[in-house]
Amino acid sequence: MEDPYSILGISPGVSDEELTQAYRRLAKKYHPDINPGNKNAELKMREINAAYEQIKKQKSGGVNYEQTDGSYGKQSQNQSGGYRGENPGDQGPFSGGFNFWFGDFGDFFGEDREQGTPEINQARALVEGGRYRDALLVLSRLPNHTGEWFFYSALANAGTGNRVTAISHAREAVRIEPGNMQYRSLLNQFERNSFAYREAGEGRGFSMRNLGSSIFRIILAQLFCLFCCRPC
Amino acid sequence: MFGTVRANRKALSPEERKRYDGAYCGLCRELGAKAGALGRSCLSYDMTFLSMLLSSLYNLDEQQENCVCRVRPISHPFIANEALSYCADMNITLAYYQALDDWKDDRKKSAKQKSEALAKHLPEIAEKWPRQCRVIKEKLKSLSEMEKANELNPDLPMNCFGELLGELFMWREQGPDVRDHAPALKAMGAALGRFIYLLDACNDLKRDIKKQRYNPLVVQRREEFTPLLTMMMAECTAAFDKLPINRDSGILRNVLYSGVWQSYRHPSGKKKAEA
Repeated sequence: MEDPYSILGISPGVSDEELTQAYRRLAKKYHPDINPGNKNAELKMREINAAYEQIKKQKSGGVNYEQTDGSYGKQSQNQSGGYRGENPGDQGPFSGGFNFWFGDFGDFFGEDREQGTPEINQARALVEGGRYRDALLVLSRLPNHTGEWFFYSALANAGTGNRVTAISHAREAVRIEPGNMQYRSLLNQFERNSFAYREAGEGRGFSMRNLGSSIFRIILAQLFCLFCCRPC
Repeated sequence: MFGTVRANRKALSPEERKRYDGAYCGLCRELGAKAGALGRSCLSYDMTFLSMLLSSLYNLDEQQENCVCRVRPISHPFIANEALSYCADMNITLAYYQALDDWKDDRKKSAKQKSEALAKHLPEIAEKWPRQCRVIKEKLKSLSEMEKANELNPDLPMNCFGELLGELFMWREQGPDVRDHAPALKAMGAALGRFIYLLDACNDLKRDIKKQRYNPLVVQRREEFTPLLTMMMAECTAAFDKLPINRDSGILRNVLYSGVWQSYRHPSGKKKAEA
């Protein structure tokens, strides 16, 4: 990859503010929302995102997953009343979160336990043990992002309550290995809840057409994938 | 941040509409009693929803009277109870921080004056609701730090705002049914908070990019916004369904299944009005 600093048009050693400003200036120029349908801009934006991420990583000395509990930066004290549990970022001891997203957790661990790399196996063990934050830390040290990597990252992120990341990583796992039923069933778990919401709304006489169509399209696309077995 | 959690009026029955307006007027009156015309200017639908939810959950007694006000000069009914009083306190607190934010971001003089005027009411509110006020302050501080650091993982600010709203939903501290309902209330508030945050970020994305401002969705894929938002609401309604709701459930569900989508501007560009 090209030097990330030259992609952003800055010199190494810029302040955080200058870095952010440079990024936002370029986003204004190349973001797909500002340039609808412009493939070049889209590619350029991807490059800019990657460069920005890389510089940020370097500046902070690696990915800092400590922050994923919603407390931020130096502010490590986190007292939000008496209902907090040891599962930060989620709903504490009463957590409906994880079960809500994944139903029966055990379903996602197949028989092929000892096949991955040692690091992946370690991440899997940590996820199974409910040590999601540690799992993320292990995963963050792996440079190669395979389908398996995205799958365990999706699980660990969901465990720490990072829903958007969890879903996008689950989707990425399926995209990389469309034939893997385990990955697919994880993604389906996410989407099942949306179906239930939509159906309940319709059952009560609300038109959910506007939401439905796009979800429906995703499910349809997946059905097609099932048969074509190619990345789509 | 304000005004997302509202009912879709067209889908309310005439009776429901009357109830909803009664709670809205009740909140307005509480705001007026606490902070005069300034208080009334903070009136929001979001807290109307919370007041109806809590009032229904705890089966609160309500006083119903008629009033005449400047906005609606014809005599109309309003509701009064403790939940509305609590929600008015929270409304003032949130409006204060909102005004402060507007002043910092846009340097609007009027916002500065408003925040200064509202600040006078905060100590009294903080004394009544120390836990909520502390969490609001903490979480909003974290949010502004994330903004400053240009945090591009949307989960972090979303969860932060979710925790804030989850804490607000847990109104009461004591009582036999309080501990039973707290988890579902918190989960529901947290999910709704994440939804509101995400919705605002979706709606503002284009403007924020143009103005070179912070937006946590700048690296996300646009076609995923609607499914993500739907999932947030699915989680919210799953928690809601765990609560024993005694009255106004039609109105509350109207908000959760239809009303909240009214302000969503679809990624395709056209504004989606009602569902």
